[in-house]
Amino acid sequence: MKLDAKIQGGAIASRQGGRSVPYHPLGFRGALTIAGKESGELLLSKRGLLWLLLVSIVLSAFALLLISNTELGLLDNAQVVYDMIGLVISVGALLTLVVGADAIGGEQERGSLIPLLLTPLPRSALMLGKLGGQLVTWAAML
Amino acid sequence: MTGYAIRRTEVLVELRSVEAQRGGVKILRNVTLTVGAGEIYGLIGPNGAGKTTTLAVVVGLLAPAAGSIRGLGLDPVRQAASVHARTGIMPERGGFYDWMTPSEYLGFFARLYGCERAPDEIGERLAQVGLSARPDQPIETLSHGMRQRLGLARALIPDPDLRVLDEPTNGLDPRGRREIHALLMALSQDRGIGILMSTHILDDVERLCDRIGIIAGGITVAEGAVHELASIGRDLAAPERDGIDCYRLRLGDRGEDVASYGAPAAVSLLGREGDWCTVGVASKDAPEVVWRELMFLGWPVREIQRVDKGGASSGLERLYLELTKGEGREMAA
Repeated sequence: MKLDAKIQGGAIASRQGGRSVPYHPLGFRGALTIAGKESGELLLSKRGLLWLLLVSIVLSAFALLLISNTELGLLDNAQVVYDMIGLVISVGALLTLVVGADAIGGEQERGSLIPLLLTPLPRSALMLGKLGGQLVTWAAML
Repeated sequence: MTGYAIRRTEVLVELRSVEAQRGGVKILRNVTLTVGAGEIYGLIGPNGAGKTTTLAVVVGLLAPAAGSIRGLGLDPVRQAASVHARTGIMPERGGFYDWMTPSEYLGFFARLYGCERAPDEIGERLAQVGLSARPDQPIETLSHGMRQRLGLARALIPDPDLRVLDEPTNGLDPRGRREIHALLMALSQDRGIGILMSTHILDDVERLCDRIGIIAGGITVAEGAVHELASIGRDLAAPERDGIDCYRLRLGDRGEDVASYGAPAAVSLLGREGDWCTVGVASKDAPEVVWRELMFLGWPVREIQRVDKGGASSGLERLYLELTKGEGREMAA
């Protein structure tokens, strides 16, 4: 059985006054907001802090090894510094990739992507903010 | 900041014969609804009827396969940003950042809407939904009901013309439900904001809504004013409900919020009137086991009465049961 009740449209109240909605079409500020949230999430979450602690321990141990080990100690100081810089950059990038891998997928799984998509923020700004957050996290890891 | 020039209109949302699919499965087959300014519109239907998908189409998250849709006079898919700027939306899943506090969370979304809210204004939003006592408590420590309130507060952050709420009172305690009812009614009546909400709680519909649409199997099977549809329901003959037995439960003083306690799969809440609520129980299940499960979940059941098939407590409930008959069997399975 299908009922087709008459639609009552006459009781619709008139809107009260016009409101202008402040909105930034370029979305740059929105991208910065997203980047701040992303880096905060990556660095302040338990997982982010754990990774930071882990990388600090590993790099400290490696630095100690370079200095104390007799064979590795044959390298001159400049070479040790160069090696360490290369190592820190690459390990930092790797860890940023690991912790940031779920920037989109993880948010989708946790249901937090939909509220972001329902803001007036352009999707390009959302992506820019996500990438910016990863870069800030990488810089922090360095 | 630049304000968008948006055409003002009395009809905020208009769907006409909308079809939509997800993952190759057609969810909406013919949905029609109209929401006006200052109106609370309730979208009701069984689980899987297409309520959430309809809301996704309204806010432009899902493009319709057929039919026409206008939101705030715009195309929600092609002009999504403009529609979102004027719409407060509460999705079904909260999706919160557990490491933030409610104040930080609302501040974050305020910035995304381009509205820098002062801390006292954020506090005002939290107070509106009854969260003023916990502005700086991490979200991970909040209960389900508190998170529900926070989701509603997020939908209050922009200053919109339309609010789209997916089951806004789900999981709230009795006082919380009353407070949210009062808030939604004030928003609608005092500020002329249109509200489109989905729910499966007929009590919410009867208390709040001006008009409703009933969806079953992705089709709008009825739409109209609540009192009109209730009147039609009262005139209906007692419906058959194969596979479902109906009972009336008298509840204790906590009984107002039975929906938030949760229910076994075999039980569906059909309606409530005063201390009594009507439930449907799948015939294949032993009632004694079901009552024990309900008590375990915290239902303050004081008395149980078997009612005849068709013992709906209101005209709206009777109409709903009639129109969703096939879906009911699916729910009870």
